[in-house]
Amino acid sequence: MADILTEIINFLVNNILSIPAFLVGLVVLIGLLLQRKSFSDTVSGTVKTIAGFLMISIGASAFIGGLVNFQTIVGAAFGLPSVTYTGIGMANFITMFGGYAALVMSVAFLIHLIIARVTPYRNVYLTGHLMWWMSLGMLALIVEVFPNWPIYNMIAIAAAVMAVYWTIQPALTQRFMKIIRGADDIAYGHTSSSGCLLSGLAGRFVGKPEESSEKVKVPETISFLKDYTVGTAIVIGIILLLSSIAAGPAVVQPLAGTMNYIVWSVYQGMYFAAGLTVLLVGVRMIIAEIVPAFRGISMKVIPGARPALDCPVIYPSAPTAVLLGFIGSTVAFLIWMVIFGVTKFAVIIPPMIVLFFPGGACGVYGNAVGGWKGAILGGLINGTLVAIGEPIMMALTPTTVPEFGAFLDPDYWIIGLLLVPILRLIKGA
Amino acid sequence: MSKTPPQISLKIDRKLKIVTVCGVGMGSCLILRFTTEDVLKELGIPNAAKVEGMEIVTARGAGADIILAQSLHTSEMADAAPYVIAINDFVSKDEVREKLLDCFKKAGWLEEK
Repeated sequence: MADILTEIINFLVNNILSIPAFLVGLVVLIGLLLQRKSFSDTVSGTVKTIAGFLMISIGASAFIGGLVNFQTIVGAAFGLPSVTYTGIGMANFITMFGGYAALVMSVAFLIHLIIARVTPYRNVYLTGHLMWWMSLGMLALIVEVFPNWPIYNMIAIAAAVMAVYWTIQPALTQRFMKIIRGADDIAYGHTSSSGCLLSGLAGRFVGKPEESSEKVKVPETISFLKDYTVGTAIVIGIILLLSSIAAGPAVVQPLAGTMNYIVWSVYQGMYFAAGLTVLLVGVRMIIAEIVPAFRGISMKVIPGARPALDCPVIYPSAPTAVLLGFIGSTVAFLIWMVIFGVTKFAVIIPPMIVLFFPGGACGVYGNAVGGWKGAILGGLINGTLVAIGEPIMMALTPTTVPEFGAFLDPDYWIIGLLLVPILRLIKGA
Repeated sequence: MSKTPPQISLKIDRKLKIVTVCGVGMGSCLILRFTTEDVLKELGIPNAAKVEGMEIVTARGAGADIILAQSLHTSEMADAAPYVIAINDFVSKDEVREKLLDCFKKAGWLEEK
């Protein structure tokens, strides 16, 4: 009898719990059951989550393929040796640890609710996709230092760090949120907060809030770049095109196969954007099922808590500042890209989402205290943090997921710089 | 303080599809989805529509009856659904309610109780 029970448990552990896609599905299934969703909502929500998870892996492979080509070609254009990503790699890491990231998120959210309940920081962090990426990123940082730790140790440490971060971050940005929204009703919950804080603090040195960005006219022609698929394809495509011409057919033609190497480089921009889009649609499918459960729980545990939300909620306060921040952010990044390339320091890839969305948010923060000049400065700050963050992230997680540098926001590497030395201290002790 | 919302029903024999849109289809469209679902609940029609959050590319082909999006994106969405509505404040139930009621009225679906 006991044997059969062990067999069943073993079967479940080996075939369900250790398969990340099913584990994530299981977490969501529990959430849907707790919300007493209808049968059809429960089934479709669980299946969508599993499919979404698989899409993340598929998208990640395409995305990384594009990334490696980008590194090679742009590196060659600057005369840098070709970079090979060592380490587990993003697609494999997600396959290995993605399921645990869903557990980290859930445990961290519960700890976060308890902290928010008992302390004066009554903000509830609800930006689901960043909860997902940060949880995965934390696991990468921990695996980097303690590759052989038991998984429950990793989950506990990652969840504790996330819970504290989700509590402190919205509290830090709140004084600026009051200025931006003219109300204290919502908080800012986004991993670009470091850039936003700097923009809010620095803005007043360059301008006055009365010189608002909303009195400035910005040409509408760049507005199609707001669509991240289009923006990514075009910007990456142009950089690849220029780099391919500079690097020459000797380097690029072998990669391009039978296709003409110039055409191929533009095609790679599209391929990269397509991979990114698949990846993000996958994340969306998971998040759309998890966050409603989190929100439902938080409304019961802390009635009237202030929700900490994704960056676009502040865009309506200053739409022009969003565009100025985006422009500033992209310009700063491209300047750093050339500087890093010419000095043969590193090849960095412009992450358009991180340049547009957090760049826009920094623009709004900068504008609130320093008008349009503050908005541009905010953008420059974001672009700089993103640019210097890429090599830093690569150095923080060289054997796990160095590619995270190509799309995580600044708060991630700042936490990494704080967390990794502490972990190393623990390891040494 | 928001006033007590009216109780309504809709003259349509199928579930409406409302799509909420933001740039990447991750965070804020989900927040707008919550606001919209709360508004429908308060209007007494919690099951009249399926509300889904998406990003621009997917939303264009989603076959929505109504698209709610930040004004930043409505120009790209103009022909993607019969009714495309700009929402400034994703957490404002008052704004979403007012604009949805207006849309229901225009479409001839509105039936006040």
